[in-house]
Amino acid sequence: MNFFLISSFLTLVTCFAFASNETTFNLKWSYDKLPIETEMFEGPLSLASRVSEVGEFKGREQLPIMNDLRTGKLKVRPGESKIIILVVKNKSDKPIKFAVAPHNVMPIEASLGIKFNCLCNGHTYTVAGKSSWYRIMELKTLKPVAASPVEVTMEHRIFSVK
Amino acid sequence: MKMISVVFCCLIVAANVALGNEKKRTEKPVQVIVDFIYHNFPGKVDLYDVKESSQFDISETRSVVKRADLPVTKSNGGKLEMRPGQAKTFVLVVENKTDKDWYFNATPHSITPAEASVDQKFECLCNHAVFRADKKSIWYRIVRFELGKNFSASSIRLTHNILGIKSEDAKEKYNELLFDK
Repeated sequence: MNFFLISSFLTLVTCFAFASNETTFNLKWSYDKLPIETEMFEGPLSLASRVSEVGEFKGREQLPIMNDLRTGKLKVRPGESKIIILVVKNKSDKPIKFAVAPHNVMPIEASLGIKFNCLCNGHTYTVAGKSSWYRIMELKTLKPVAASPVEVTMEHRIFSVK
Repeated sequence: MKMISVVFCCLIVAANVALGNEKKRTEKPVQVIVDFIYHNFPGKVDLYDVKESSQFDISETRSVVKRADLPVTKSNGGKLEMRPGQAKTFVLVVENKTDKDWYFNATPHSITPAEASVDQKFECLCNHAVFRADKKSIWYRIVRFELGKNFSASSIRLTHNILGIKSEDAKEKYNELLFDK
């Protein structure tokens, strides 16, 4: 009995210590007056081979979505990878051609050891009128780095391109 | 009558094409600024034109002892004038006159204005690596910036944050990120 209690306690302590190493990533998107909305979902690591894929988003059934990331916040442990699906919804009738400026990371020091295979690479994308568009992205943290900051904010600015 | 209309239309099209070409030729060059913000880093990054006559590779990163061994000509101060469709190669230089090696990392660059981030490519130094500028040496890296043919902004500022890293952290905590270790 005592052995059971001690081992349970140790497991809890270990779990707590492990969880405390997590970094909360706060992923933000700004788009001024563009008639769009963004949504994010977490996908399984099995989508890693499809990172950078884009296409028309027809509904949740289309991709193996695990969680809604409504708050834009995602907890990542050191050395972990996360698959993120960005959905851009065009509320207007006309297609919108857009691009994304390189993301800002705060605090700046946190950028050392974060690899975000996102979409801010100078390319332009198009979402058709009254449609939604998706991109599969991957956020990776390297072991030595991610343990330090408690929260990291990464902000992207979406803008229209003629 | 039809013939005259066709010829007239052709003349208008030709004139527009000629005017368009002329406009492109007289377009003002794009002002390109490459700058750095330093955090706990004792040195600075200077920008030089590359010595075209030297044998070099983009991303070549080395330290030399003598300034004469740098593949550079004159300083460009981080200010370039370029036209859409043009690429320029230049050299980032960090001179370390001290007795201690300096370790640093460059965060992914930001672009101002944001709209200028379309149709450009900068093969720079923000590749998640930790670089070492050897003591009593001059570190350099050859980089290349390219404006696409459809680049439309009148100016672009590319800013890197340079983070100084403690020697012990570079060797232990960030060892796997060390460039060319």
